[in-house]
Amino acid sequence: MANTREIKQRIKGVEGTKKITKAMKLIAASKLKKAREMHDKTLPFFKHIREVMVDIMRSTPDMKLIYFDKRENKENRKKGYIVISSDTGLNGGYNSNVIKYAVSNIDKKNSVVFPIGNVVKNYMIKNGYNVVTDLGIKKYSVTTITAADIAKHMVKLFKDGEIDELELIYTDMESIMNLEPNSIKLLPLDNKDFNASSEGIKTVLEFAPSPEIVFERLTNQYVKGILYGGMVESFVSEHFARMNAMDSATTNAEKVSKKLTLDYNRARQQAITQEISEIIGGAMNIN
Amino acid sequence: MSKTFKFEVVTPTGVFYSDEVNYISFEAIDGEMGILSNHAPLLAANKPCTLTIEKDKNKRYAFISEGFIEVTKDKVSAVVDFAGWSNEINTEKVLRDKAEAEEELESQTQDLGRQTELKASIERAKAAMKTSSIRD
Repeated sequence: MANTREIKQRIKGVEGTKKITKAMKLIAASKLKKAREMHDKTLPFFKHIREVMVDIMRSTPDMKLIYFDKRENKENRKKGYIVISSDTGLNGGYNSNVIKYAVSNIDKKNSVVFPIGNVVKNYMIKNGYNVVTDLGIKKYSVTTITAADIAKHMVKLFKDGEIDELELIYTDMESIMNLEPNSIKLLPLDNKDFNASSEGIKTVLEFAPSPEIVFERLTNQYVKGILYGGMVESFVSEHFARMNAMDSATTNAEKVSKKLTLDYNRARQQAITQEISEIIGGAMNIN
Repeated sequence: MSKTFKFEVVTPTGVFYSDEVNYISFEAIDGEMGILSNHAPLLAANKPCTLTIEKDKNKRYAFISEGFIEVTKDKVSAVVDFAGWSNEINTEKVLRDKAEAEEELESQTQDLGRQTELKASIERAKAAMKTSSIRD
């Protein structure tokens, strides 16, 4: 049986940890709420962009643009992957799930990984993936401005032929219970994506100055929209995972602290009992 | 009184403006453009410029960054990255950003892409300054 002082110290330690995990849980919860609100605000914008692209495709279906070029016959096709993880740990299986998904989907040969978040960056570099850390941004944050900068950079790489395909790997919060790593194709654009609702009346549109220029502008916005969606989805998932992890850590700390308190009381009782019996024994010896 | 139409300005940070208006004008890439009700369907890419909104003889001015204006049968929407009323523009910040961009442009001789970007942000700052000098 450990002595009472030792146990007392451990209880103090566990209580301290509990305080921290509880605070982290609350922080994660508030961040999550904020991110959700931000995302909801941006939805009309990106929905609009998509609608307009559908309209353009419908009114000028034979437009030939570099963004639709699949470059299937090109030698050494390079596939780019943007993988989103978090900068820090303490969020359950969030990071390892994304990494596992990425590893099973990325072909080491002919691929470029653009990592977002330290965890995935370190892993990819350590495991010999072709990693490019330059995303065209100074500092990563979940904002439309960052998304715009990354999108611009990626579209440029695509246009220059540095990458021939671009996929985004992120974590999707399907429901409260289910955080699922997922991937979406960003580039090249797929005609099929924009012809979904072709049963509507074909509207005749005028363009100023030309459909190509308008569409080019839209492509940047479209990529940015999907990217931002993925960024927010990942951010929300990360904080949700952290919230859960911290919640169970807090419960666990409570359990441990309870058990330790019991141990402490037992040890204390034992010490008292021992003291009493020693006194009695001593007293008997005197008599 | 002239007829009205539904007009909205949508940005990534939310819907900036949404109301029935009489007339709007802005600068498209190839020149200034005005829209009244019953305009033919149109998609126009716009420069960073002053957006004039006229409603019941009252004019309001806002700065809009690059984006596009879409005219459909039932409404007109401006889909832009940023929008702000002329009296709410932070001129100090705009001027500072402009000065920074100009300084970088002078030293930037290699990267053509960056040059274009810087020129674009200078244009944007100029347009914002121009807008901020207009009062409703």
